[in-house]
Amino acid sequence: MAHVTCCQIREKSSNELENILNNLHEELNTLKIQRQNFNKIENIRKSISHVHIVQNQTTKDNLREFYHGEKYKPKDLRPKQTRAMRRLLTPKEESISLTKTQKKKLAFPKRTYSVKD
Amino acid sequence: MGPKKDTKETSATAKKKDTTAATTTTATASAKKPTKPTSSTTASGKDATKVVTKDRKEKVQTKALKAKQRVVRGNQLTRKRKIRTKPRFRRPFTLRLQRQPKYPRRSVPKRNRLDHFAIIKYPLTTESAMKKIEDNNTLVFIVNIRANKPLIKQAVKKMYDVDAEKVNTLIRPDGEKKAYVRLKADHDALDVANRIGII
Repeated sequence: MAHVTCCQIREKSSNELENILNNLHEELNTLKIQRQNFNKIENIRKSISHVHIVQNQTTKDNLREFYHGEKYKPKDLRPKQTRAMRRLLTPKEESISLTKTQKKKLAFPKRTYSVKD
Repeated sequence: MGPKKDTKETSATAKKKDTTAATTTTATASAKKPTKPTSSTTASGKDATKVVTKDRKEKVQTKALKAKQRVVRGNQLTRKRKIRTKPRFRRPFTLRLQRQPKYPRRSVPKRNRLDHFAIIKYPLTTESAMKKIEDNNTLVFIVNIRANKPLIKQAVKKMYDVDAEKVNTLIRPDGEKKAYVRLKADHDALDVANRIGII
């Protein structure tokens, strides 16, 4: 097995992925004992990381679906932004104003004038 | 409460009439108001029940009133002060609830990076390592530096299916950890080495 790419393994089930992972690891072991085929070793290491990528991506996607619309999500599924931005007022909270000010705005909106030549 | 009382009295009197008339019982009365069937048998019993019901009513009333007052006022009047026999005050045990998290903080628990594949890097094939295999029934591995002896034992068991009698470790000058894994007597290191591919 020369090289496992992410596209090849995205459709596989988690059990199959585990099997692939085990096989790759065992291959890696035998190669390391032989102390040869460094290119092949590199290929296998990359393949192992591809399998991990696919595993993690699928679990994360499934979890996002699972928590979609929930009020309380795990923190790593919430938008990351920056610490300060997460603590800002939401746009809705920003737009709240007193009825008094709303009335004022209606009564005295900002006028634009132009000078007539 | 007033009208209810009246109905009770009337029902009682009705009952009395019924039983003084004759025979059976409180079919009508009980239909009107639930009372104990046993209480409505004899005439004398009738008088007694009439009195009891009135008294009982008052009792229940005062009891209800008291309960209400108690709720409003709090239990100040009949609360007893604790007798303290020691000069020291120790913090009393209070309720400690278990955590009921509304969401897990991490969506997925962290993967164990030090699994048995990562622990054992490769076996050594130097001359002294070979000597160890033949003479001392031990295998020599280069091992992850963060692995400890019990972990190494488990990893060897998982990967190569052999039981280790003991594990000795040292950290080489180039920063790698070397593990001498002495196998149990019923395993032959030479066979295992052949099987693994060291020889």
